[in-house]
Amino acid sequence: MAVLDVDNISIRFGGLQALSDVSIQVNEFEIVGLIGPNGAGKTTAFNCITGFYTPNTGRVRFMGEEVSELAVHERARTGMGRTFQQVGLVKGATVLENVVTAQHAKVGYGAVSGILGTGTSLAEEKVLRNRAMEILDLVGLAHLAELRVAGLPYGTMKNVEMAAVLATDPEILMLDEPSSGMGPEEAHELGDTLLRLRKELGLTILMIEHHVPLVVRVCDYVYVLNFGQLLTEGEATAVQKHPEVIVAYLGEEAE
Amino acid sequence: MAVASLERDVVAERRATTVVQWLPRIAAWLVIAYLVLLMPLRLDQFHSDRFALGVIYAIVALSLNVLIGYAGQISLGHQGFFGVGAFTSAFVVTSQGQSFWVGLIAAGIGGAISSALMGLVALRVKGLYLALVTLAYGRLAQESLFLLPAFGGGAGIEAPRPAGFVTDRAYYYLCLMVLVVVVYTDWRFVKSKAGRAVNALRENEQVASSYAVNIRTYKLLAFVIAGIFVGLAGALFAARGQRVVAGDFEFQLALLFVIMTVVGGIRDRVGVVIGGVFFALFSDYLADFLDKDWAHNLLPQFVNENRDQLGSVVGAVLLVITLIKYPGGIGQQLRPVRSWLTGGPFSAGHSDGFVEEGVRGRP
Repeated sequence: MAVLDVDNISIRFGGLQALSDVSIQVNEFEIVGLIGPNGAGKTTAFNCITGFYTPNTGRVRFMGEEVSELAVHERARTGMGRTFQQVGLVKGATVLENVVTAQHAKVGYGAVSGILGTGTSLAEEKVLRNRAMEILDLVGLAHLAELRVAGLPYGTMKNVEMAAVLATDPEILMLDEPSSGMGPEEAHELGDTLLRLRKELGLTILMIEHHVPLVVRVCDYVYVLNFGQLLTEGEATAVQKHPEVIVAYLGEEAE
Repeated sequence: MAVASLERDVVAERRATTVVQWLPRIAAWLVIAYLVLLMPLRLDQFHSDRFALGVIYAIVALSLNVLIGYAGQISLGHQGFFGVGAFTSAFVVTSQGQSFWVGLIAAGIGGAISSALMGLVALRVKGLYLALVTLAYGRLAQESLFLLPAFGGGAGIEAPRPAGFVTDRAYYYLCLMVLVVVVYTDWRFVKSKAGRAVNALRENEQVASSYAVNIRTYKLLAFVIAGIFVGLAGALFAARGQRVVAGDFEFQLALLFVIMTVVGGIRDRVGVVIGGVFFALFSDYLADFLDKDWAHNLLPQFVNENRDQLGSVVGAVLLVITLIKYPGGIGQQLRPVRSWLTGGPFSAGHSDGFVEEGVRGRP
């Protein structure tokens, strides 16, 4: 079953055709890569899928439901979890607070009973914190729970962001360059984490990624974008050898 | 590396455990309790009247803190909402013959509605432009809304105090009770789902919405809560003076409100309360001080001649110092004291990580 079905989306910004007729399918438990040179439209595609941009044409279906008309927070509620290229976290808050905040849609009590401090809301706050600690444990960050995000190293922030997105209890994890700012070793560890998450939590993953060894190792399927168009798609190893992909990344050979 | 050293700091923060360690702290708490609860009984009534204003300003500061601190929205028209609360309660009590308590609740509702209207504007207009809209709103309220015939048409309207709280001293305790309710509400707000959502949307709307936070709803909720707080403060202010007139809500008041909140320390509950109390009491006690002969002789002549301006000068200077040197305001300065009072060491604590928004916080 296709978890995510992006059907022919196009979007223009003024004179720039940022995406034209891009279709992406992500099936259950798949890890799908979205690659392409800088400015190819990868993050724009993410923004169209998650609702930050409204495409001029095309539709997005998620978990068999049409979500094209939904706002960002409504799509998040249906189980779309995403990370951002520039670390999407509340940087003034602590690691734990971020992971608790991310559980917003899971909170059973209403905003008003929380403000009044009713017994049920207080009891549920404990549950939220415990769940946040479990998630931090899962990604190995429990020891940083009380620290402010703003003071953490970049790579650690990326991991915290991952924990926060997991806390939204997503059906699909959409990662925007998860390995940026990581060395080869950390990127390898990230690959392990992703494979483990899929296995243990049954997640489906769509990721924008530049780090080729990581893509080849974890991705079942890869889409290549260039100048807003799908250049090719297929298995990672095949795509890697595709002549047009090589040209897109390295430029034409000199005559 | 950096992370490891941060962890050590967390471990280093030890709590006092023995009775001996707690004794001086308990003594300090008793002194605070004496100052707040018992001292007004021993002083003349007019001191209680001033303290009541301090408490009222503290509530206003908590209200502005919700907007500026938590939601990141500026309001330069807060004296307008304050006035709406004051006039609503006076109208309900005097013209409609309801009790003070009904008037108080009506003031909270009135403040919430007027503030929510501003919130609807804030959904479309941001930053400097929002500041200008709020400023215009405050002026509008002052120049027209508060001059409506229902509100006495410029002559003002009476606002009696409730039975049992007629004396200045008793009224101070009434204000204190409302402050306690507001502080509790503010505390629960921050510690629950709504506060976290508002905090997230202030820092990054994209991230907040990807956490399934409805930006519009929670921004409006922040305005509603701020409106309730300032509406209650307005009702207390009305009955403190026992009469409200439009002239009580000049634009300068809105500036004072913003200054006292920022100097108190945004996002710092204790700090903004102290900021509000300080700015409410400062000019009166400064005047008392300057009236003393020895102070008069001690100070240079130009200070004595311009004593009325002294209050605003001190406010402005404190604001500049806060923005440049201590973005956390009074609250940040008192952090070691508070850490000590709650059983910790006398220190600002680990990696306090205040996200700077002052001069140094510029990108």
